Amino acid sequence: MEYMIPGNLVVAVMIFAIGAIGIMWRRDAITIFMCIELMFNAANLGFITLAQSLGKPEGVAVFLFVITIAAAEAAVGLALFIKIFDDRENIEAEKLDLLKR
Amino acid sequence: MNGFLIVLIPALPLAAFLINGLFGRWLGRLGGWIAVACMGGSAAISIPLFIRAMWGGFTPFNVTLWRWMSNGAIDITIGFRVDQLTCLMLLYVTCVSFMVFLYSMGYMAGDPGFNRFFSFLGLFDFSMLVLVLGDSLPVVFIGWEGVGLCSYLLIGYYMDLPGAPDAGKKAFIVNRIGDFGFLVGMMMLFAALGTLDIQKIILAAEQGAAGVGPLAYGGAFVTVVTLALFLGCTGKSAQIPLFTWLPDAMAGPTPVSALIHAATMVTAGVYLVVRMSGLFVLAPATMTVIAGVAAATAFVAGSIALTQQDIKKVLAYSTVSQLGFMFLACGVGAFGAGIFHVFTHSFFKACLFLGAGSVIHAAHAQDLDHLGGLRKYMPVTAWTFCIACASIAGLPLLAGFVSKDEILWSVFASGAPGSMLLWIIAVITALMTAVYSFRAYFMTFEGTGRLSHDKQHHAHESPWTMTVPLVLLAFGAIVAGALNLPGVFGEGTWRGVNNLLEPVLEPARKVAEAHAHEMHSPSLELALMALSGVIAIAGVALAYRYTLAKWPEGARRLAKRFRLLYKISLYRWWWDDFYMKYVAGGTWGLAKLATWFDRWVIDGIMHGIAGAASLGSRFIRALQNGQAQAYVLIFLLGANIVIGLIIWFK
Repeated sequence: MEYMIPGNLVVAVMIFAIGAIGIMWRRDAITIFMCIELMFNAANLGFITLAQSLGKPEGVAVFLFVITIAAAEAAVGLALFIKIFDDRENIEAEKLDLLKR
Repeated sequence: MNGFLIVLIPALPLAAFLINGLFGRWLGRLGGWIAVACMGGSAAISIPLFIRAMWGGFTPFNVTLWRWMSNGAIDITIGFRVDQLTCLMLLYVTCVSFMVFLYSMGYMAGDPGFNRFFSFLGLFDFSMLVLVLGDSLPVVFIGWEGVGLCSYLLIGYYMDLPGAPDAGKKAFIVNRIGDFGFLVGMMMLFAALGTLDIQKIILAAEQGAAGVGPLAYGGAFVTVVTLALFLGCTGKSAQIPLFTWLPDAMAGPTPVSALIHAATMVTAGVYLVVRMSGLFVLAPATMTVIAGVAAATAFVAGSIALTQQDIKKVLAYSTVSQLGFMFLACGVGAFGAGIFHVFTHSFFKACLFLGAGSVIHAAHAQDLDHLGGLRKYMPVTAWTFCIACASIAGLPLLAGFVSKDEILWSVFASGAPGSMLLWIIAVITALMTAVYSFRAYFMTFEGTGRLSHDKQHHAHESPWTMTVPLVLLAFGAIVAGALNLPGVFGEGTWRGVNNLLEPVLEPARKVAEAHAHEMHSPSLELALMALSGVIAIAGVALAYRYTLAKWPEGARRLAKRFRLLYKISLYRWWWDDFYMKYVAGGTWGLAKLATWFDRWVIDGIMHGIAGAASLGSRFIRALQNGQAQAYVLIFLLGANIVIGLIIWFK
């Protein structure tokens, strides 16, 4: 039997792509951060859609883990950005190139 | 005589080396005395050993110390062989070395490297004694290399003088060529016989004499082996073509020259030939080569010694010439005569060198043109030098006369190919020996003093540490001949050394009796003996005429009349120039080629690799710009490629 790709999965892929492109194009660190959240949620949507269509509950469990981690990561990430802004008065991603040195 | 005492003979000089080398800084002059005592101990063991070998009951024995290496086919033990030949060698090596050590106490007094000098002397004697005692070729080779190393260290002892380090290097490199021959001969013997034990080799040689085994009489193999070993001997014993290092070796302190020229080092080659005589006689071609090379060496070196200006150079070339005599005797099969000349030569040559050292010590000059008339300032040195000169010149009844006449007679009577020619060359060389040795004596001690005024003022007799060895050695130079009077006086007690060495030389004698036709004629032998006496006296008279009676006009006129001969002699037959230009020049060219190869090919490869790495890293570095977004891009691209590949190959 041929497997039909659910429409929700297509939406998830599109959101993921938007997030990925946003990460690479936007300069503002906060926006990049929001794009990462977008990709997280795209992945979550994929998990739930597949859990539903394949009838497997594990996908929902993974979704719960991911959303928890994303919440924690959002808190840590925002705290970091605030400290960086305190230090240099801007949070443009291009200027944050300390890794090079 | 037990093994422990035998081990002590080389161990005492080794102890002298270690004590002076490790603690010399704190011992100072005491270290020198310890070395003298050690050497005296060795001599004290060797003298009774020799007396027992000569007159008492003595059976040869082996002392095995430990197994050095054992690896299937190779089984080498460190062990000593004490037989009659060893006893004779031990006697003069330890005695003459003891004299030299004692002399050095006076000669080297106050030298900044006093203890370094004595430690090297100890190592030198240790090596020589191992060489003499070794029961297998590898053990002999240890000593062989050891004396080479020590000669390098001691010739280059005055390392801040211009010529000394170079002379040391020359000695080492030239000896290396000879050592190569020794090694080749040794390995060939091992390949054929599976053993390097000297006794076993001689045993195999005895079978070879009967035509059994790989060492068949006159075979190509045995000829090549003996030629290779002889190449080793030409290096160590300064024969053509490798003799040029020895005259340069006088750059070292004079006691070292005495040690190298008399007791240690140069006699090693003759010793090896005599030790392996059973093998050498199996190759008549090699024997002819040895005799020819030896006669040529004796003649060339003797002719050079005639015109040298430096007293030590005269003595150095005289040594080369005398070594030629020893090898000449070996080459015609008279091994006993050869080793006996080694024995007597060690006394008068050591005496001559130590006398020259005494002169240099007193007058601070060594150019014969600037010496002269020193007898009234240093009578002991003069008299001992005169006795030693008379001995080497072969004035009748002295030690040198007895041993040299034995060689001349052996050559004459041997019936070896070309023996008449060899004999004539040897007689001419004997004449030259008398001339150059007395030229050195007359120009140093007799006639008018040519020293500059202040140097003459300082000229004085040397301290007792230097004169006592001179007197003892001069005594040896007079009486040593009594140990082996010519065969014409009967074969009894007075044929001491020949009888002593009989067991060692027996294999060689058997072969020689089977193949050669020796001449026996007591009346002819007496006549030739008288002839060599006359020749020696004529040589002294010639030397007197041109260095005292008609000095300097007569000598100058002589040089002008025989201008070509004079130049050949003065410029040492251009041997050194030849080697410098063609042999050393070739090496130089090779070295240049190697430099070029190193610079452009080896370095090129290395720089190429480094350059490629540097270039590649510059490219990779561009990716790592610290921009998080760029990393994400690369990460995404990489992930896509990996996923794409997984799908593609599924």
